[in-house]
Amino acid sequence: MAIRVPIALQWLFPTPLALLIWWGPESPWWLVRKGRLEDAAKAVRRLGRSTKMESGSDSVEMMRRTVELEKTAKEPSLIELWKGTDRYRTLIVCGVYAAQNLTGNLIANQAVYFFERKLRSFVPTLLP
Amino acid sequence: MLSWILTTYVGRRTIYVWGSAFNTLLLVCLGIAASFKESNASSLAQASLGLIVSVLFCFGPAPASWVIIGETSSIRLRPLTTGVGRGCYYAVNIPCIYLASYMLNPTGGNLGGKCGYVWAGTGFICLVMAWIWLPEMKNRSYREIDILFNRRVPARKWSKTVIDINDDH
Repeated sequence: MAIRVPIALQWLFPTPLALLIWWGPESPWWLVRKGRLEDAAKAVRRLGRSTKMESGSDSVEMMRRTVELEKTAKEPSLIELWKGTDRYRTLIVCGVYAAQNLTGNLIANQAVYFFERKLRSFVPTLLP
Repeated sequence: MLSWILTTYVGRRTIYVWGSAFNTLLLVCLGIAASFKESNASSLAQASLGLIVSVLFCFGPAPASWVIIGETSSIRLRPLTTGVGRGCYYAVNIPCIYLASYMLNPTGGNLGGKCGYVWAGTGFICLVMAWIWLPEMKNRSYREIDILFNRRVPARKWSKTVIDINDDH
C-alpha cells in the first residue's frame, strides 16, 4: 500500500487533462491542411487572445500560405531531415532534446539522496 | 505554470540561455558546497541547492525547450523531426542516468555533491552551443521562420532582422 499511493498520485494531473481534451479546439493547422478554412478560423479565435486576434482569418491566411509553400509532391522522408536548412533545424531539435539531460536536471531525480544524507547527519540512529 | 506567463513576455532564446546560465552557476555552487568537509551546513546547502536547480530548470529552460522543439522544424517535416529528436533524447538519457547513479554511488564514483561540477560542465557546453546556434523565434510566423532559416541568418541576429510582408524567401 505504501508504494501504491505515490504511484496512484501520478494520475492526479493526467486524468483531468485527458478529460479536458474532448472540449479542446482542433488544431487549426490540421484543419487548414484538410481545407476546412472556416473551422480553422474558429479554432484560432478560440485559441488566441481575443484582443489580439479579432478575426482569426489573417492567421488562417498565413497558415494556408505556409502549407502551400511547404507542399511538395513528395511524401516527407527521414533523409530529407538531413538536407539543406532542415539539417540545421533537425540538429537544433535534437540538441535541445539532448540538453534536457545534460543541464543538471538529473540531480533533481537524486534529491532523495541529498535529503537522506541530511537526515542522517541529524538523526543517525533512525536510518540504517 | 508560471512559465506560461514567462514565455508570453520573454523570448525563448532569452529564457533558455539565461536559465541554463543560472543552472550552471548553481551546479558549480553545489559542487563547492560538497567540496567542504561534511557538516550539517554543507549537507543542508547541497540538499537545498539540488532542489533549487530542479525548480529553476522546470521554470525556465524545460518549458522553453518544449516550445523550441515545437517551433524549429518545418511544418511538413515536423512529425519526423520530433520523432528523431525524441530518439536522440533517449540515446543521451539512458547513459546519463546510468552515469549519474554511478557517480553518486559510494560503491561507484562516490562523488556525492561534486557531481555538480560534472553537470555544470555539460550544462556549460549546452549553454555555449545554445548561445551560438539557438535562434529567437518569438513573435515570428512559420513563414518568417522558414525565410530566416533559408537566408541562413545567424542565430544572434534573428530578433533584429526585419522581413517584409511580401517576401517569399
